[in-house]
Amino acid sequence: MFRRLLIANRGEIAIRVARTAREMGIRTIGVYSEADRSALHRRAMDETLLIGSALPADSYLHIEHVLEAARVARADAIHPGYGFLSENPAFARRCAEAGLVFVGPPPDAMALSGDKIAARKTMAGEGVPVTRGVDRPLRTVNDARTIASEIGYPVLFKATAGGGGIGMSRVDRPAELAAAFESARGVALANFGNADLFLEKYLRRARHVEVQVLLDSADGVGFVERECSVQRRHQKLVEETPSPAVERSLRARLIETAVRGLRAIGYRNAGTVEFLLHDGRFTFNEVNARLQVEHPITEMVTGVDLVRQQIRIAAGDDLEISQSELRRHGHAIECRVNAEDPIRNFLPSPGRIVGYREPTGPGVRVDSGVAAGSLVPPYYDPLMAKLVVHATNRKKAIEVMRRSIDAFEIRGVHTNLPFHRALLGKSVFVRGNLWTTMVADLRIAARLRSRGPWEERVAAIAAALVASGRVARGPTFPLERPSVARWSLAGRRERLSGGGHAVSPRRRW
Amino acid sequence: MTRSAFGGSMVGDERVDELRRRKAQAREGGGKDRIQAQHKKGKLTARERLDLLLDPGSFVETDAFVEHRTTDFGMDAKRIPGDGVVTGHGTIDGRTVFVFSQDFTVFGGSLGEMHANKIVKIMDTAMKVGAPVIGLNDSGGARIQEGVISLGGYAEIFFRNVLASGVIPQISAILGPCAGGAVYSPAMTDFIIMAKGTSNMFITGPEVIKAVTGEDVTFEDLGGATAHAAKSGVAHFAAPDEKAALRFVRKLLSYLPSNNVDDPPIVATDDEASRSDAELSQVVPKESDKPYDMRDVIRHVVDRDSWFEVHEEWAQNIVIGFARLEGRPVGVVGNQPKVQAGTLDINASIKAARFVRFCDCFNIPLLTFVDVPGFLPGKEQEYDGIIRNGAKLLFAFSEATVPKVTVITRKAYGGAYDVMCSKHIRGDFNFAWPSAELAVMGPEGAVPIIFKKEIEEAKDSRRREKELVTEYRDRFANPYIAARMGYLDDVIEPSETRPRVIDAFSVLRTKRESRPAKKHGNIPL
Amino acid sequence: MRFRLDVDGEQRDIEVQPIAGGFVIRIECAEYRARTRLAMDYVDVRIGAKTQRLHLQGNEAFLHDGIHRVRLVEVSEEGADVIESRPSGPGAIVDVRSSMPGRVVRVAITPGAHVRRGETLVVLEAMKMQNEIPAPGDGVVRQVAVSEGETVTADRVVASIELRGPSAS
Repeated sequence: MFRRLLIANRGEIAIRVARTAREMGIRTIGVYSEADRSALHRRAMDETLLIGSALPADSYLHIEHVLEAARVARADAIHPGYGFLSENPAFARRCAEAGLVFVGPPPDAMALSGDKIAARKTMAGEGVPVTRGVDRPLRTVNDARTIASEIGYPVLFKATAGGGGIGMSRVDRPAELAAAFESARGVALANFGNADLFLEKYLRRARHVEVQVLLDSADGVGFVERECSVQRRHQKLVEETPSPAVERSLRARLIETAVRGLRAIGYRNAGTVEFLLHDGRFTFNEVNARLQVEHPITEMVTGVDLVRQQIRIAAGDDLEISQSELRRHGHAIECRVNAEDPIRNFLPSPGRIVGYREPTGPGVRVDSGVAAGSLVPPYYDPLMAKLVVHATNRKKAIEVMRRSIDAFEIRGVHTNLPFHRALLGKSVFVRGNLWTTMVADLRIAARLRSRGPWEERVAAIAAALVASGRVARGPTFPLERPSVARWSLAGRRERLSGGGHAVSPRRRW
Repeated sequence: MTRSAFGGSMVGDERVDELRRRKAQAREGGGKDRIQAQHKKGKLTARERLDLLLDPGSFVETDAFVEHRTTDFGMDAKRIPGDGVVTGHGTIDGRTVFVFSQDFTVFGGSLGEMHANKIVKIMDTAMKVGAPVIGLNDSGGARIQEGVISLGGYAEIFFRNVLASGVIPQISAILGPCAGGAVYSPAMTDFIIMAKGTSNMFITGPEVIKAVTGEDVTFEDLGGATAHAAKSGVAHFAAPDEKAALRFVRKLLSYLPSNNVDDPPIVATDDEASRSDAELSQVVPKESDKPYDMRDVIRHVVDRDSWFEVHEEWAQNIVIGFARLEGRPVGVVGNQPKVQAGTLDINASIKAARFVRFCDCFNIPLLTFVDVPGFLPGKEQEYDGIIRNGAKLLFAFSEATVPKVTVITRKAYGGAYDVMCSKHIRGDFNFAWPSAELAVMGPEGAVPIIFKKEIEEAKDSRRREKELVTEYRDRFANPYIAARMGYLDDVIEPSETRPRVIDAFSVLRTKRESRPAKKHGNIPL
Repeated sequence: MRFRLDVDGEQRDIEVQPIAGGFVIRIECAEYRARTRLAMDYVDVRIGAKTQRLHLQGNEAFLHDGIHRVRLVEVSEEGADVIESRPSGPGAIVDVRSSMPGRVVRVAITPGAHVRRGETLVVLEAMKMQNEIPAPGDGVVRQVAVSEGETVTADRVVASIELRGPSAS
């Protein structure tokens, strides 16, 4: 087992990984940028090293700096968290070269997962259902046009090197195709350095369902599926497990397919296979070759510590559970709490948190990267904390989540909690009727009027101040009268003496 | 309607009824029509202004029944109680202040004998009790019908402005016309606040100018708020409107003591004294010739939200204003590198010198930030007397015996180094950042002089000069030579400026320093 | 009316518009309709279905379930119909001058360019410093009077701007 683990990430995930590592008796080493000098995750580690200036490219994404930190701290292994370098095969290879164990999949399997076309092709080869589309890069716009008319509109352009929903472009009509093709190529090149696109049928009102898998050298375990359909601009906001749309036999097939698919690409450690559920059928979407943000909901319903298993597998130990032993209890939901303003189109809201109080209670878990006084810098993801609840069934879980959202107090920055409050009140959500474009389709954010009880209180105070005429006079100052020390008073008298006090000059009346 | 602080009693007595009737009449000023005309111009009445200026219900009026004594020109038929000015006292944030508010609805707010007497009375009382005087000016000028007597009235006011100067704070808000001789009273007060669009000040008005020189100019352009805030420097503040102007007065007062024996009041803050600020290390650019805004430095050092700039639009190459440290007011002076390279010129010297002397009058400590490459060169400056005027700032800093703390952020060259509250003119604590360069002049200026021969004799003169400039910069453009001599008390990290400065002022709180006895110095004017 | 309000350390920019019986309170694009009733010592405020009674005293606001530290940081009121008579209104052409002698190191504008108040027009090197000469108001560049590398005297016109909006004289 490792003695010293470097966690190459920040915020809530760094703290969460460190928690498990500590439980396993492993010494935790963290990294931070200039902007994260007073970040909470530094306090969760046994030691931390400065790895660069605020910009990610200069710190958390800078391979040299991270490896240097690992060398200086004499780490045995590196856990990359999610995002940043977690799906960077070059980084995984450099770790290996440096004699560091990378807690994640082998570089080749990672690279294959990251090449969307290759991944699709391999899965199809394994008999995994894939969405109608092509398994090669599109050559020209005419090529795209031909294929699109074969598949039938609407179609979706996807970047082969892409991820996070970037570079995906939906086309409803042939007339729009040429422009969408060019623009998607441009976005792909700018973001991933690779302009290659492929095409798939766009599935209307599909559901995003994914399966968590753990693979060691011998065995593989697939977990009950997660539903992640509540998204905005392809970023997940709310996830839950199990999916309200999946019944037992479908579940079994999803799990079996996911494990088989990952095995086929030589995958090890934790990974997730994403599917699209459409008309009762599922098709492969992509592989996420990392631990995911929403992993806690799986942990809550199965009692398995996924990070612990990751570390074990990386160290060459076995999985501590087997497929047959795995049980699912109850229902779990996660809401991602971001520093964004849902009333202003989710405008990022960096700043300082002046008040912070987490909800607690049975079945409530908060993985947070911030506390009172924390700075939310503008350079990184706006995710501050994950609010996860667990209950015996979905209805109860929704109740617990609603109560927890109301009890979650974060002041000083705007949060998307009002959005979550509104979403959980929507009848479609309560009925379990979810689809990937529901947030935009239902205009949930656009309909928000209030940022919550705290701001309503501020508005009431403001109204009272104006009504009572206080504002017209401007700020009032609570003046305290200082006492002047005798010493300086004596000096003052010295300087002022030489004049009498103002004698009343001659006056006319 | 001004609510009086005191109610009444004894219903039913005829004489009390008569009193109430007279009081009500006095409150009407020039009558409803004139009040409406005032509002139409975007102006408030004299009493409405007092209501906004003072704490609610604190105003106590005096001399409401004073009337003029003139009989000439049919004036005996027109007697209006109050005689065009509302006077009395009230509180601002709980502290007593004396006020006069000229009433434009009565005789155009013109100043006659009794009008002046009312003002003089509250000034005398303010001097007796040691409280500030605030004047709300809105007047057509001297009451011509009273002839020379009104000039006498003005003079009585002027004399008291001078007696009170440096004893109690005097603040003038110009909320209407203020012309001719009348301008001298505000001019001698400590601060002038004008309201944009509805106020103006000038010695000779547009009509006379047109008649004498043929020049066409509007009231606003000649003597409006912006003209005086940005061009002449007569106005310290130009508020967007009257209500804002009155808010300015309240805010300004919160930094000032009531008189020259008291310390300025404290406004508690939750901004910690020990707050170290990493951003300060980023403010000064690494390249010596790149500008930055000195106010960014100031705002990071002083208590959050306490910065209150004075004379913002005039002589922008120097920045002055009030701020608080640990809740205690300080006067801040700083060169502004992003305007005119932060050089000192005539206007900047005058602007800062008066401010320094005001702070010295009223026990307000001085915090000076220095980044000055020298005085602005040029024939114009020389002919206009940069020598005389630059000396004003040097005189003011030297004369001041309030606690003085100086922080050199970058350049401090030549005579300007001495002027900006250096150790030699009795700065109490002088600090410099590692980026500071204290020198007689910059490397590019010094090298051609010192190494003239060597450069001329070198094979590649240009290259040799460049090398020498680099050497000179490395050797001399730093704070350590001055530090070695004790001209600096310490070289500090920028992020630690706030704690160090607060510590310095805290120690200096009981400072006691004197100057040789004299009637008063002869500051070059 | 606009002001900045600090409640328990959290600051918000507030915009207030009077309506019948109360105010519309705008806080960074969120709107709250508040009905107010003013009494001697307190104010009743109704927002939505909820009514609260507030006592304002000094720098504190007392509500039924707590006390809040309240501080007005800055207040500004929209000036009502203030007539500003200046020749440098819209349409006027203003000469922008250098305030000191120096060498032009960068000309940031071309004729016809739209500029905003405060935007850099020309950068001058003088006193071993780079000085940015800003546009006095929003407008369009009508003439650029200097070129890079040129040495200028103090008071030399560097550009002419036709103003579209209010400017600092």
